[in-house]
Amino acid sequence: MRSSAIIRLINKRILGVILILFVSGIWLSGCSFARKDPKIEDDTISLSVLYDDSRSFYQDYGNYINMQYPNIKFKVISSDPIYNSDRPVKESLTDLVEKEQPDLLFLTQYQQQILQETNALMPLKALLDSSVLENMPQGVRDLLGYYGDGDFNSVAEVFSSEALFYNKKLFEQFSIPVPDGSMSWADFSNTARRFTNTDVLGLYTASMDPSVLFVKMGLSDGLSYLNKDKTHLTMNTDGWTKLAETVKSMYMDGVVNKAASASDNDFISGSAAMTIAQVGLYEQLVSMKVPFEWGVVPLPASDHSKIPIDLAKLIAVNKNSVNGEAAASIIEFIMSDPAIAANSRASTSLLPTAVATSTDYRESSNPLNFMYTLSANININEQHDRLQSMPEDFIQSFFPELTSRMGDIIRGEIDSRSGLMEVESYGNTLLQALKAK
Amino acid sequence: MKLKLVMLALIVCLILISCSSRDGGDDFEKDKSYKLKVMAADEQSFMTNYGNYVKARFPNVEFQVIPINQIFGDEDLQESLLQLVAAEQPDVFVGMPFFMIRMLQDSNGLVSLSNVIGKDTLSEIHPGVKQLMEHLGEGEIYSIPTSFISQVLFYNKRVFAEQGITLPIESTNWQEFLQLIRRFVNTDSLGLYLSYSDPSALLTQIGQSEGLAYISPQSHKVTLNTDSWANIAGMVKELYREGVINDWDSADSSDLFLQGKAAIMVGDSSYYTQLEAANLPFEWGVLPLPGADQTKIEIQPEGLVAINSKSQHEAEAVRFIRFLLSDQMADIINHTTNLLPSALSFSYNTDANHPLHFLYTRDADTFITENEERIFSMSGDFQKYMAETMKRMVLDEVGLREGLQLIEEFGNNQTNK
Repeated sequence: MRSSAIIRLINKRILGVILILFVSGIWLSGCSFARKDPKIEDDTISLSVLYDDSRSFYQDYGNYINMQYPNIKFKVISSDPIYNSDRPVKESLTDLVEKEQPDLLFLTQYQQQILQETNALMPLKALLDSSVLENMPQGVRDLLGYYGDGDFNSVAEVFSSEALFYNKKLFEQFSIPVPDGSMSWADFSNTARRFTNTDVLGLYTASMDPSVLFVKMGLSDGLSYLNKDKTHLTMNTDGWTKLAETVKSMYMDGVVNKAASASDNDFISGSAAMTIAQVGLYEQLVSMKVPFEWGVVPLPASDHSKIPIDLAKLIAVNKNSVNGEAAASIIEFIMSDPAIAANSRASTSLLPTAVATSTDYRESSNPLNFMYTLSANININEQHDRLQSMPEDFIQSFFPELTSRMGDIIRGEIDSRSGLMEVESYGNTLLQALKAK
Repeated sequence: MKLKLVMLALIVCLILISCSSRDGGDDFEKDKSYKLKVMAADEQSFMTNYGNYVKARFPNVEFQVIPINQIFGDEDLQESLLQLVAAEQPDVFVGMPFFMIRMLQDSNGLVSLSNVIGKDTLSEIHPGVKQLMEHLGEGEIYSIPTSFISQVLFYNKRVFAEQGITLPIESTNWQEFLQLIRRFVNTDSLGLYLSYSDPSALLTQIGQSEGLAYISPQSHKVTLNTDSWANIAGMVKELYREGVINDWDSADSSDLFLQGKAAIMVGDSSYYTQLEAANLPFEWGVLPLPGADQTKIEIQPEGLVAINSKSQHEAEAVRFIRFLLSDQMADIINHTTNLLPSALSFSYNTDANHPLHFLYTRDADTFITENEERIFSMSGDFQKYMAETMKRMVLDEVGLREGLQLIEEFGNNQTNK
């Protein structure tokens, strides 16, 4: 053989061996054929996690993460003690994080706000793969940006949205046009009232308290009642008054349920034309295979590009964490793992935010698609957060008063304007008393 | 050239073999679709505790869950159960209570797992657990618990030091244990704290760990008025009278051991996890429960799995059970239930220094299990009567022998009904 041919043969051999080693290397390292993140697959990694409690953490996330990455050792720091102490949550939470310095934090919206204020969270945009944030549903992204004061200091793996569900069969039965995403609350009320004097409810509400519907409408329309400083309450406005009238007309025409449903939920049992509910109702209706055609549309609002968005659980990284990269990799895993998504969906009926786990919903033909494309009605979250930080005394005194006044308004014992004026003055008295303390 | 190809083929084969044996050659294969019918309490708890993890590992496995909670209110549970099984023909039973497993076992409804689960898997299960299941299956293993409960003693080192009482280094019999407890009389600390303080339960527990039973196996005749039982009853009475054990109707229901006010506590592995997470300001340790035979512990089987003898998918059912007994699932089970996994791969067993390690090296006290079953089969009225009478004995409202006699008679009248 000529020397060049021998050289070529040897090179081929070497190439062959290299190829074999390369292939076997891949196979021997990741026999499970699932793509592992090289940043967290080797060595023991210890991460501390702030969660409700250890069991829930493992059940919701930890066990699934460990199935892929058994080398990650979690230490769970329970946030339960915060709610068992007599100190305000704000203080206990800040102290707990300060003392324990968890790497990864799972937070409620309110908890996130507290830690955002004390600058305890690591900005995530640079840490996470850009696709994580880019592919978030529009409303979720809006809300995350709002909670991060423009930055992204947390992400959400699941989200919820409140919407309007309607029973198509009943609308057809009475020849009433079905609701669509362009309704105002006045339109909504008119639609519900078309079911007067039928044996069908126009609207089924789980709460039965007219003031709940009243406040919901107002927040959806961009109104507020508590100012930013939480020093003043305003309800004596044209906006609120108009809505009080709207609620009144619905109750006076008897189209809203006044008592608890005998069957648990009049909408599900087919005796209510509409209901306002969280997205979990969608899964319920599907799995129960209800015997009527139904639909879901965005909640009425003054701005139809916006819908209520709720983030039950936010995931963040501690600003002081030395394991930021590992924590970020875990967040990316949580966002992409179909087993975690399936578990979340089964236990909570929340919608997944990540692209990988929500492909169905992102089809334009999917009834819930609007929940992925519309913006967040941030006013609603803002008002809720403002209220959350109020002392229990205020909440437990003000809202029963509001309920009582709404009842008076509906019964015609007082006109809307006057009723709201009384509520407003009652609320302001409470606020002044609080300030004095 | 040929040699190179042969070597290539050999290397590829070796890779394939090592890869597949790492996964476990008996795992669900990736390119097939599997469907398993599962009978469990309800779908949600099955999926949350087991199903979701199987699917995370093997997305090609589908479950159909037949919930048994639908028959819980029925008059004749056995009939309803057997009818449901006949109608639905599940492949596996998961997390069903043992008395239901026994009903299926007795009607030849279960596959003998000893024969099908494989030597490898069997060798990976806690020998005491295996022994217990063989006993309950009358020589064959018809169901395997994925986890178990066993109680231990927790002791507060600081309380012992403060009272100048020597820490026990090992457990002995109940006589010595109770004498130790009584050394805490007239101190600020309780000798023994029980989260459920009931003198009749304590009497039973002490008796059975010393090999005594008051219900005879065949006739279920109650025999309590004996010297041995009177001796134990006397010891229990003294504990309560001297105030070294917490009262049964104490107004304070908070955990006195956690508060550092008790020398010793009886609890299980979930209590261990609780203590660890509590970051207590005192050092604490673990000891086996007292008992005449320290080579045995009581094992309460949990998360039982079994295979329907009429299943057409026995091979898949076996793979499923093997996965539930794997080291991955062991950690998962412990993290979510705080119970002890039956798998020997679990860290409490592999780490010889773990305080609960001894729970993996002891045999099952089948006597206690049998006795518990017999007690369970007695009427609620009897158990209530026994509890009330024991309390009266402690309070000196009735003499020891007299009280035991009364309980005996009540129990035997009940059986005769």
